[in-house]
Amino acid sequence: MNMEAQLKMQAYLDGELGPSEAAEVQRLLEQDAQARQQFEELRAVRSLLRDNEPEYRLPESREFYWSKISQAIARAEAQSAPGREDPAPAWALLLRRWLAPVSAMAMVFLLALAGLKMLSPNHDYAMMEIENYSEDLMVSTFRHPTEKVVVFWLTPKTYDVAAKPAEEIEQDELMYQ
Amino acid sequence: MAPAKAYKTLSDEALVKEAQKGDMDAFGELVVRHSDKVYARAFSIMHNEDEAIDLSQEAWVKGWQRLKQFQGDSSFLTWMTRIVINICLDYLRKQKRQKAESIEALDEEVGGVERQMPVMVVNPSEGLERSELRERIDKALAQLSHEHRTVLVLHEFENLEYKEIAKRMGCSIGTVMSRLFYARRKLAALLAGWRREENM
Repeated sequence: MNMEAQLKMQAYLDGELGPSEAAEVQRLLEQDAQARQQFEELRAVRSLLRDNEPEYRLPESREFYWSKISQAIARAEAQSAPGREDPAPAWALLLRRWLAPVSAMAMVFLLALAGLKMLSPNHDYAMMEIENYSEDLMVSTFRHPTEKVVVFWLTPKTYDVAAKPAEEIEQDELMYQ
Repeated sequence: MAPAKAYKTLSDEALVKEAQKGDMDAFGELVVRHSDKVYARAFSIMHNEDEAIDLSQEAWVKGWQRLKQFQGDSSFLTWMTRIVINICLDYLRKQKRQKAESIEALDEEVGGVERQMPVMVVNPSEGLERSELRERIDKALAQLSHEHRTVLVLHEFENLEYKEIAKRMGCSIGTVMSRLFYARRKLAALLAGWRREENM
């Protein structure tokens, strides 16, 4: 008998099945001796438990038990009493109440601003373009997008700044005209 | 307010009415009257004396705090029993998050173990006094995991339906069914086994 059938049989015992499924289990019990045996075991255990629930007594005196409960109630009420005075002055309370949400909003605003600035095409992080019009003359052009400065750098063939990637060029290698 | 001595003669309903007005002594009488039953329900789930005392006390504190919500749809004891059951289940959920499951418990959860148990053919209660039988049932319940014992307690002793048990335990109806099946078969095997040992 598979697990599904066994669980259905148990559900039938516990009155948890609808009429059609209950009829199905009834037929199984009529036809299958093993199913009947299993069903009887479940029924016996169910009856045994329901008729013989163990009894447990409180292992301490009721007066002591109640005294602990009444103290716990008194403590809980003292903590949640509406008239309980807060030692902080009113302005500090107001600040405490509004500080957290205002700080959070300010942080979000600053992060958004920083993000927008970084995404903007005109920010200072734009790469400087390097254009080399002529390999013979070794002319390099540097253009700063926001400052609107263009630098033409003429180098001898032995000292090829323009061959360097832009990020490796030192500031003093540039000459502004 | 009724004099303190008269509380013992008042019904639960009358005591609840007094307690709802803030009469702590009336509530105290309710506690004294029903402390065993509320403790017993906590112990039947937890099977640990200290935990059952703490959790049942917590239930009484909650009962006092929520007393004004008690409408009398059920008896006061039934209402308090529901509170202590929920507190025990919350406690078990927190414990479960903290502890790793034992292999045996996982095996029980996955299922299949109960199929290996032979069907009980011996009448485990034959020749036993009621108190002896209850002791054996208690001993057998102690050997179940919290989850299996809880399903058994809620179904057999609190008469809850599968759906209600699933809701309280935060699991599926299928899980309730398989846990109940395992718990019943395990109990049958234990009780029959002890009987066979005696008859040998």
